[in-house]
Amino acid sequence: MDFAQFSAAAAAYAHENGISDYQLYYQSDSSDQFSVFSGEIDRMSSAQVEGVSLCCIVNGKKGNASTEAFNEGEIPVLFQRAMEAAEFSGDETEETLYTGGDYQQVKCCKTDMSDAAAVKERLMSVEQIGLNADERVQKGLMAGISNITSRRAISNSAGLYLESEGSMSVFSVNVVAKDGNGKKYNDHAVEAKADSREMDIAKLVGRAVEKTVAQIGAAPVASGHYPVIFDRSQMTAMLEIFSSVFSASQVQDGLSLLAGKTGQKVASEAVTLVDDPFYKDSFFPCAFDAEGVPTRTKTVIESGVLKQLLYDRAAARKDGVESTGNAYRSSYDAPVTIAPFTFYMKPGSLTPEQLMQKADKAVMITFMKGAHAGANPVTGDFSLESKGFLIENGKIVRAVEEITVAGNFYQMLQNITDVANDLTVNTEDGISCCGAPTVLVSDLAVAGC
Amino acid sequence: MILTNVLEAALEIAVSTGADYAEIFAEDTTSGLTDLVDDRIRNALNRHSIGVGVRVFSGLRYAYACSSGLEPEAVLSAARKAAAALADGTAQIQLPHLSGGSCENHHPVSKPGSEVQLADKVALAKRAYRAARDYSSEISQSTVSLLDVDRNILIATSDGLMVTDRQVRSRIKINAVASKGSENQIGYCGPGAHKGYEFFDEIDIEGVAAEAARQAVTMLHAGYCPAGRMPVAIDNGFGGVIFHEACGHSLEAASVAKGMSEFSGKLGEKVASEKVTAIDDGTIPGAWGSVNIDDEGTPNRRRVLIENGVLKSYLVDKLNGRRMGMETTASSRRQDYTFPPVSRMSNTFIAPGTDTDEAIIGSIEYGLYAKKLGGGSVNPVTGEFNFAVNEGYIVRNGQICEPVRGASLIGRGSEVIRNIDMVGMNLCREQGMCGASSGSIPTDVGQPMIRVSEITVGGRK
Repeated sequence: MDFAQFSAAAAAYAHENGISDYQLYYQSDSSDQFSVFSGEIDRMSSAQVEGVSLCCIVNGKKGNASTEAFNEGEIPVLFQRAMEAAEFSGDETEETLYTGGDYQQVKCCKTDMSDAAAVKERLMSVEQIGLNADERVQKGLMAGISNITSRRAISNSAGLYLESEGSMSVFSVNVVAKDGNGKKYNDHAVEAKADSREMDIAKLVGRAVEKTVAQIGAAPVASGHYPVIFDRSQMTAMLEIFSSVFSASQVQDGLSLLAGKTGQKVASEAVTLVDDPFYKDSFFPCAFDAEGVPTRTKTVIESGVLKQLLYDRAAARKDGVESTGNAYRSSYDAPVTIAPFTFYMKPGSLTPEQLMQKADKAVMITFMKGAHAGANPVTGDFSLESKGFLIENGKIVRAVEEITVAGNFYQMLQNITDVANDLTVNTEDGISCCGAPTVLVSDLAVAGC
Repeated sequence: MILTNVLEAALEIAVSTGADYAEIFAEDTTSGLTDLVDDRIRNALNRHSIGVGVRVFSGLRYAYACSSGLEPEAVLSAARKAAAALADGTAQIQLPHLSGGSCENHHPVSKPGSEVQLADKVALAKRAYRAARDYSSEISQSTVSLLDVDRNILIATSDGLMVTDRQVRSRIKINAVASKGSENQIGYCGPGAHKGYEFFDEIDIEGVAAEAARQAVTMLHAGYCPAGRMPVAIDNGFGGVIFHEACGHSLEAASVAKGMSEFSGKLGEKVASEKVTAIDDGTIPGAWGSVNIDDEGTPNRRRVLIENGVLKSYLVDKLNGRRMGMETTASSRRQDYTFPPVSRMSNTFIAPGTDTDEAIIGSIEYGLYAKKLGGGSVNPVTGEFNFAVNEGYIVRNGQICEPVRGASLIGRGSEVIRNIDMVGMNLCREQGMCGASSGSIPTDVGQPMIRVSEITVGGRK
């Protein structure tokens, strides 16, 4: 039974049982992966997973249940569970079905997988390219490609029907290098393309090798307070870690410190943050959010001033405003939360080199890890394992490792003195919904030796 | 779950392109999430996840295909895709008839969460919420999540093995937020077990909630943690995250087999201080990280990883065992049918030693006492790891002094486990979710109080 048949059967069941208000959220993901280790085929895999979530509204209250079993027998169970959940749901009693709005046309991004054999051939060559690039690179490079396609649909008893689809090919290369003393260094490069033929594998390997060998000779810096430069990948990571502080429902529940701050200065003037669902480099552009509300571009922080928060329908109703179209579901069976689509910091005018010169002496962070435990959006506090470079007289003097960078995100926003002009979204060694240029923060704590 | 003749037909297809081994993993899981904030139910979700994964080996390479649904066509289609991806010639092996049934059960369950009324779940979550809020007027918010999982799995292999298991788990996660002015601090507790809802009758829910609130209030009045290298006393329970990150992941065959671990080729060598004996035991009755069989169908066991500082065993799965020339240690696990399994931890802990907690604290002239710990991560290639201290105290002249706020502790695994120079006697385990290439799985970490002679503390002062 496919989704159309399942929807029809659900409609028939709802009609027979006098259930008037319900919505189905469908998602179908397929992926093909291929990976090589040391120039040999290591793993091939394919996945085809589809699921549907049912939301019932009973007496203005909403309840959810989900399943991956697309058969007739599942439908009564699904309705029964969703309706039981509705009975106990929150204090909200004004839930309604969304009936539709004005949607922008988005160009659907379709991956061309016709040259899979050629792509595999190129991945097999990664080992040799890496070994030739630098003599310190060790045998055993890992490389892989994942072709991912995701389709989703929303249909409800009020007549709304929406569909969207997106896809991408993600390439990754992992490199290990060894210095003269036998100490190992490891890094990787990742890049996504809409069309796998556009991927320059040699360039990707080159970047992974460059990032890895650049760490050779790394050592901690003395513990203390430093001006800190986050390169664009790490400022992007910061935005991703803390994006939930801009969620109106988190603010309403006291789980973000931005309550009552709209219209006030919450960041330095150098900071402008925009959420743009139609950003050109997005692989999954979508005209509607997880509740079916039309998506739109909005400025969240403009020159340091908090212009607005991000809303779904329930949070908007509470604050007496319109939804901003930011309802989000990480998967069809996940709860609806609030999240940005493509959330980026507007670039400034300095080149990253000019920004380093301006900083004079600083620690530049090019890698951070452990955010799931070492950073918390509720408090804004972070303390993260990091790597990067020591900048003196405006220039990189050596690599830095075994350090942490620590501070508070809310304070850090105030202390961003300069923003460079090298904004990237979604393409720099991590697939993210965020993007940022390189930034300079006037003061953060660094723990080292 | 699936008829034997469908499984046999699927295995026949799976090995038709030259595989020397094939495995079918079928799963039918229901799970519930009851999530409360501000004394109201934010989400009450009920999920039904059902699907199949087929894995085929040819020497050291493998192919994996998965599909949602358990209809015969879903199973046969996954087998066809796995066989097509492997494409290594024609059938090489003869398949025996499948035989077997449910595995021996060491984790009896009386009240699976799937059979508990939502009203009862809501009442339980509200009790926890109330207890957290009542702890102090400084507690401004609390979130409570009740999770229950009823996971039914079937494994059938080209060796003729057919086995099923039912894995029932329950957990409550309580967060408390303490606020003053423009500051928030949080506290957290998250006990869980390989048990049904009877688990919540065995623990003191109000006590757990009050403990989360105590942490939040204590941290609200704490200063910043110092930055730099110093001795650290790490308390029992979740403190065991240090071994999990600094060493445990690096003993997983997925890293070791490819030479991608700093412990590759070190079996039989002294890798830690002789005070350290570390165990991964997947058989502890009712424990969060226990399973009767691993996700390749092998009955679980207790694994001594390090004994008095000497590396005794890795964590091995069938595929990586081939590369290493080793048998499986029943360590193969996966989040669900969408992931091929790899070697993972279960309930991993440092065994009790001979030092008293008083002696450990008393030995530190200036350093940190890490009372409550959070999660972490590691790169097994270089051994660089991190984990979070959620509640710390300064130790001065052998005395625990003022509290300090959270910070990460970082280091290199092979160095830091040599720096564990005192091990206490009071072993305790706590529950977490561990993420790696085969997804997020329940694991216990544990230890008695230990002393690390020197480690980098990522504070702000």
